[in-house]
Amino acid sequence: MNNHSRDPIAALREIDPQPNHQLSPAVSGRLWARIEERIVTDTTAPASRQSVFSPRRLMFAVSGVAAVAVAVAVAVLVNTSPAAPTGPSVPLGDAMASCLDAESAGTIADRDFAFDGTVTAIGDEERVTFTVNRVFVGDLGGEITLVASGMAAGHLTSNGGPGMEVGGRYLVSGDEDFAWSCGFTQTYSDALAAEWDAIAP
Amino acid sequence: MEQTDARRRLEALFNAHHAELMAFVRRRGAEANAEDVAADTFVVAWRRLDDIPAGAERAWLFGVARRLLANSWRGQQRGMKAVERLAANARSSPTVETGVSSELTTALAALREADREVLTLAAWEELTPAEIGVVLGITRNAAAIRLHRARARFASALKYGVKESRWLRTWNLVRGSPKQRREAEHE
Repeated sequence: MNNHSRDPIAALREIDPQPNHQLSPAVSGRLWARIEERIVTDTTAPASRQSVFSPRRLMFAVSGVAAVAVAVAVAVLVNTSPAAPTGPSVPLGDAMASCLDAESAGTIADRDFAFDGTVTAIGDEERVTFTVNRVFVGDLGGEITLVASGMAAGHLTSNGGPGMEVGGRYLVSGDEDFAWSCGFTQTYSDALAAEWDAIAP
Repeated sequence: MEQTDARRRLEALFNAHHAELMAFVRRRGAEANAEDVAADTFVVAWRRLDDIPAGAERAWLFGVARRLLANSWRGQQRGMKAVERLAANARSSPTVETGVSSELTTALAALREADREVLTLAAWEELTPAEIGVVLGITRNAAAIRLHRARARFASALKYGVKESRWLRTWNLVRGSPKQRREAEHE
């Protein structure tokens, strides 16, 4: 049929680049396993969790759970109820253990990115937008938005992570879309910036 | 919500929508990291199960994936890259068989990104205006109006050709990219 006389929406379906939605069981299984790896805390034995968690993800999980723990601790200390969680509760268990990796010049250099940035906005789900002042590691533009778990909830801080606020200047490092706490993200100081600068390629 | 209930709900969401979500992400040019984006989307869903609107779960997931993609691209102007690749392929393969799709892809690629997005959400994801509104974070009425106008511009481009399309030329002059504006000025 001539394209000119057809419904445009129907015509567009002809050029759908993904006409077949079906995924192989292997792909579906792999995807679910990845999700499960991120969300499972109490229903999987710690030993098996260790075996499937990559160091990066485990660090994130520990950091995230530690943030929840701090939230609960703060709430208990001030004798108020914690803010209602937006999702299922996360059992704390052994995850209160400290970070798997400590900040150092070597570990910063291994991150996807490290930069000196100023917070311009804090959005939902602890998404923090920075103006990038200087890049130490990675290929960054002038602005970046990252998930800063445990660092963007106002009064909360997690292991070694600053409580971020708009206008604040920080030295930030992390992987993918995540700014790590555990010392990988800190309030800006000239001394620390000089250390990070030394690792810049 | 009990942990087991939450888990069941997430599994149901996954079973019902993960294949479509993967297709949605791939259509937007994120072939290489489609699984990463899909996994991140379901992790967000896990954290926000109570916020997911009943009856619009698929659109809600698409909206989350769309924002994750936008964030990961960080302004690299890679949105809807798949459409642009389609158009490029069609232009470089001017066979009789691809003639029809070439017309379509060329017309689609010539639209503004916002028009392409709303059209492909309706055509490829088969979303209603209300669902498109959920994906884009706008009202149903706004989505319906955007879709109506995008259809008109796309139909005009198909009927009259991209260069002859009055609609397109006007829109490119007013709202197009710098390159589109330059081209429109010389038409």
